[in-house]
Amino acid sequence: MEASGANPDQEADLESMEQVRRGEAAGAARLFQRYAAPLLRFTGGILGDPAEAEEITQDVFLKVIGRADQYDGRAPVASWLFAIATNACRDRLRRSVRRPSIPLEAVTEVREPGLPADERLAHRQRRDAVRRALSELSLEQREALVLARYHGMPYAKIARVLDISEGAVKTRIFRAMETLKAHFSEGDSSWNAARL
Amino acid sequence: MECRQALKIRDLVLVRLAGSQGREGDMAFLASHLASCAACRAEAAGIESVWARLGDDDGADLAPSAAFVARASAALADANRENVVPFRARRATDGLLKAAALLLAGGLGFLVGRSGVSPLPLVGSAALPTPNGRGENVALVSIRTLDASRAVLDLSGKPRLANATYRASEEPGKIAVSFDVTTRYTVVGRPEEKGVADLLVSLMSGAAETEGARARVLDFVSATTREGAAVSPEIVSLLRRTLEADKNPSVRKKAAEALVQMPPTPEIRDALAHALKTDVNPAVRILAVEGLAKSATVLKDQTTIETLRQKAGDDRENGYVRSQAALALKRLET
Repeated sequence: MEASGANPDQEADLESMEQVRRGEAAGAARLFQRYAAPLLRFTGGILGDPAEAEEITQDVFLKVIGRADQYDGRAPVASWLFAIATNACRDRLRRSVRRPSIPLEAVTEVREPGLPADERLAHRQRRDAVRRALSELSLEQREALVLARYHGMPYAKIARVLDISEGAVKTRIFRAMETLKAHFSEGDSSWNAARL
Repeated sequence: MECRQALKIRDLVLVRLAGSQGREGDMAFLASHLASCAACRAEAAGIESVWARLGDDDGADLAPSAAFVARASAALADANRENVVPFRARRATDGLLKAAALLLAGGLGFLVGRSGVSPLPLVGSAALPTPNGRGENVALVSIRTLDASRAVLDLSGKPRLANATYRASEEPGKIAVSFDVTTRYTVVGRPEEKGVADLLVSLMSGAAETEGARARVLDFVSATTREGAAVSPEIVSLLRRTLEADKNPSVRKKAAEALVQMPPTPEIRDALAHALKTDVNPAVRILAVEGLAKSATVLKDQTTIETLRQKAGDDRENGYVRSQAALALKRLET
């Protein structure tokens, strides 16, 4: 998804940032319109909790307004937004270490009203199986893989967002895929059942 | 036996899947090698299979809901105004709000601990105490709405209360505070009831972790504060700490707004005087001026008047803050 990675309309993003700096509400509104969905997807992928993802995503845009002067224009606006979201997720995960974990099943809901119930259930099982597998990755690996797999970001952009080298991105994704391959090959009954 | 090129091929397959091209010639090498090496073809197929399987998470549940868009848009508009516009003098206290049945500060916290009901854990099954002390067992996950007169939540573990919302209840004189833990709860009760007071203090003191969430609690406290009513010391203390230490100026401003709404006390006066002297945000200092003027009137406090006088004559101060301080002094003289 290019909208979250190499934005073809960098000029528009920069213009929006200028508007944010000048205090014009339209700037933040345009950035929200363009990036709320990918950021929600990203934070949800990292945190595994849609409610937390909404909180963090909203906070990302509040930070953009509060820190507009800190954006120096060297990195694309999209990379800056994802970097803020990454740090916010890390903070949240650090703070929530000792908090009761919320079972994914308890907080997610399927929003495919058109599908029959059994297909909705199967879809949900497959999705949850993937999220369980992702949750077993280290945070560093998960961040890199989610950006690559769900946001179509090439290594160079992921490196900018995570502030690491491209080589480190490659290593993290490689290791993440190795872990997932092992995880899936061990068999995941719910996924297999859902596939049948 | 593994191909000697296996590692490089794995790398390149991933590079390709991730939408990159690698170095010049990499993709041509990959295609050529895969055409001639069955082991690497199998390896590539395995990687592609895992990659494809990750697509089972289509993120449908993570699409922005209309409620989220509305909530976030309102928060952004609010933040935009507060961060950029120098300061908009607050309207005279809204009489409707003051008169609202959603009275919060009056007695809030004074009655904390007065109730005899036992705390209700937020997870698992729990005894839901009845007014006469006899409990009935209920599975908490099934509870959506709690009557604060019948149940008190156990917030001692400081659980993270997400997505808090505040509204008037359909029942006259009651408010409803909703939040998520493992399911969504709505606590309905009078502001002075222990269950409601505990919950608001908990939300203000850290269970609401994000700036937006804290700001919403403060807005609610501010909007439901009635002048002349007794104020919970716990609430005042939390507001003071927020005003002194919160890094977000809009949150500090909301804390100041709530304090200004409340009947002046020495603690509130001192908190506002400290903010006037030290807060870097002029909007917060303007509110502090307003609150101090009110304190000076009610408490007949000469020190506060002197503080305002110094501010009005301070050349280094923001012109708007100075003029507001001067205006407050003028009002005090008349």
